[in-house]
Amino acid sequence: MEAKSKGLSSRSIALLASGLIGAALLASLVAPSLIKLPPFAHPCVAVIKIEGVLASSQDYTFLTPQVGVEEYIKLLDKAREDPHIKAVVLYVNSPGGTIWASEDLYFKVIELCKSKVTLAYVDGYCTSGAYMAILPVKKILTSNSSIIGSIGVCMVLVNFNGLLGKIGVKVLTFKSGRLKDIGSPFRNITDEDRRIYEDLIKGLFRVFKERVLKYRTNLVNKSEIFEGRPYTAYEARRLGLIDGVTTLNYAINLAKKMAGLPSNTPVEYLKPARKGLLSTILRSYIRLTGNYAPNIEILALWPPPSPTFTILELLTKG
Amino acid sequence: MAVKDFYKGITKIRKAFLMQMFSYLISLITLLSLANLRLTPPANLEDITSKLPYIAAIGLALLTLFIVALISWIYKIMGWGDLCKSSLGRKFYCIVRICIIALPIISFALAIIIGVEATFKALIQGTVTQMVYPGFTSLVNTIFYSTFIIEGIALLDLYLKYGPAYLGMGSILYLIFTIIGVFLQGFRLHATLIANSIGCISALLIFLGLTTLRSKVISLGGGNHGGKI
Repeated sequence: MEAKSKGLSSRSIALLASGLIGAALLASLVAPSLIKLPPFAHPCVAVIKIEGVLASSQDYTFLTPQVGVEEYIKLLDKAREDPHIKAVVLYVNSPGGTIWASEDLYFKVIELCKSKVTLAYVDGYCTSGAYMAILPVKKILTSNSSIIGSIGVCMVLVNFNGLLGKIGVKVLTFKSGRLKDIGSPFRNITDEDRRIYEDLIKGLFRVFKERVLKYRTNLVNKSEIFEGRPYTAYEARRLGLIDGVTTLNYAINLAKKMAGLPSNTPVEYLKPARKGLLSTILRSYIRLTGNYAPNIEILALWPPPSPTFTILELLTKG
Repeated sequence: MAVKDFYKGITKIRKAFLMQMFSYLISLITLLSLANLRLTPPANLEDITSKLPYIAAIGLALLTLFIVALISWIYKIMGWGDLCKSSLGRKFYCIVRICIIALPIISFALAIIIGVEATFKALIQGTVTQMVYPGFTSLVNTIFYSTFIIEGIALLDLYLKYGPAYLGMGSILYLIFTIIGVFLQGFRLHATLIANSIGCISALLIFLGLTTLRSKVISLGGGNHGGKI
């Protein structure tokens, strides 16, 4: 059998193969980052779980957040940008956290609510900062045994001055102004300090209160609500803090209905990426040795952090 | 003997591509069925039960796909082995045979490692929201697709030597399909459907080209075992 030609030369084969395999490798590496198609092919309802203390994972906080608030923000952005996600249910079990983290989440929820039907379902705690974060949603629904409310802000100050004096330790502070070391655990709090702290707390609380009044228009017994007490689900419903006591399935179905979706619309759970072992170890190390100061955390959190943790964190400050 | 091995090799590769064409067809049907299934986590028992016959049919299709792909792979190994033995063939065909054996095994072994890691993550997290080791996954994909590239070049070489037009078109389309396949992996269903359709057409063209080439060999007595040039 006569060959038409000699075919490809060994050199051509080597060049062609290496070129194409190289192109394949390049395509394989580049393609996923170039092509950002929405992950869901059909219209769907997204459920985003917001659990634990709300705090930034970059903060050296004694609140030890399991997932930094920025992870939730990423998920909210993802839900907002994905055209196939037609409705979002925020599944909340959080006692709140730092005022800043709660506020960051609050503004992201406002953005999300502008483009998607958004509901919140509480299963567990939704107190203080967590409640503020979900205020802009269309409906707040909860499970029977959830705890809602505790509207307000607080600050925990620990003072070691008495203890240090007893063991003969003297702390010297050089400051440019009288109030520069306000909140220092190494000096006694003065009346002026107290007044400044109260003003700070009042100012932040006023903003929180205005937000509650803006979104919850039919509140009953406002004076008691703004005292900062937590409520059971049924009490919260009676006072107008929530819209209903129900189940997660009902909340999801309601979201579908409100978004005009059929009842068989799929549900997609969006979860933050879990940190790897190395990252967890490194983060723990930073937290133990970092230059954090619990005395400057302003909290929108209930239940408040345990005093044991607070003192331990102060002692490990070094 | 040389023509006999050549004939045997071409026949087996031809069968392999016929099988490959069927595997693309099965894959297309299965993908379309999966798209219609709409089972999203957390799927409840009632949902799964109502779709059980559908799930079983898809399972059966996947099993058939696996068997067909496996037979195609074995035919390819045997076919390129025969071409390697034949004096009409060349050393490159022996390399193709080695690549066809080794590269899928290596990539599947690595894919299993990724799969185990993903399973562990899924068990811990409840779901996997991000690709596990994206760089490593790209490498595994490239190793797997390299098999097609080397095979495509070998088919192109056969076309350049013996000239069946279908084989030329098929081999070029096969190479294009491979690069597109790698590039489209970031896409979801639609892109996979397109890639599979191109793959199916290229496999059909290669099959037709090899049929023509086989006829040429038969006319020269290669089909009659013991035929000589």
